[in-house]
Amino acid sequence: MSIIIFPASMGSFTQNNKTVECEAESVSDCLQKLDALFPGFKEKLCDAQGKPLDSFNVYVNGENIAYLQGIETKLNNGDEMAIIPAAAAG
Amino acid sequence: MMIINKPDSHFIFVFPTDHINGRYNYINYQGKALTNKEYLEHWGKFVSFGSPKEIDAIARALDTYVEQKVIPCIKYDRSPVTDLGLTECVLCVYCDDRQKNDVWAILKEHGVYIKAWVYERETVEKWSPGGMLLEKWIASHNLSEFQAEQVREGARRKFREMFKYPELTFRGIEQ
Repeated sequence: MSIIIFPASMGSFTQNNKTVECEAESVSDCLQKLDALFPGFKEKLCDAQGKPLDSFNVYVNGENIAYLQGIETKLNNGDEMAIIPAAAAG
Repeated sequence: MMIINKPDSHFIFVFPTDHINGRYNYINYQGKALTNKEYLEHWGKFVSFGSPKEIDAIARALDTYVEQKVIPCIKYDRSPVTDLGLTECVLCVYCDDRQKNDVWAILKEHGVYIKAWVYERETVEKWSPGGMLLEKWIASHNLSEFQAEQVREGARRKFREMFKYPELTFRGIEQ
């Protein structure tokens, strides 16, 4: 089980949930499951290929997935995934 | 206590007193000031979120670590940057990536719950012409195409000058 963490600025995506537990094998799988939980989540967050838009950063255990294996980054039990607006990183 | 809170600035900073007095460059690793090249390779920040009150409380709690030079520097928003779609204040805790595990341990102990590391090179890219943040900023200010191009040229010139000599000591980014 991984823990997905969101800042309040992402509240409109997550029905104001700040943490969600998710059983997923990869970031891609997790995004799919979040979309089932919060309809429209992926459409707002990702491009047609399912990759996060430039306006969002996705982290696994603090590391931007852009420096890991992108959406194919594996998730293990206890991993923390965070999704934040990229504007915050400026 | 060395929290620099100038009412005319959007940001509030926490620096070591020695930095304010000009006796110390906080952009260093193990006491050696970073070059422009090293800055782009290693320097970055943990970003976190909260209400102005929450962020201010964390920054004040971390001030002692900044004064001891365990944490190099902190910057946080006075209010959310709504122009960029944010509804919370952002807290940035800066350090070299080679010390980030130690810094994160302190942040976690003080209630920072989102672990998100951002390299400064990413920020430079986002504020460069064509970068997501610069273009969003231009769009939010209703500039004419001529004015927008001037802003882009200004950013291009600024970063080109700043990083022109990779081996020189990094001198900071104007905020």
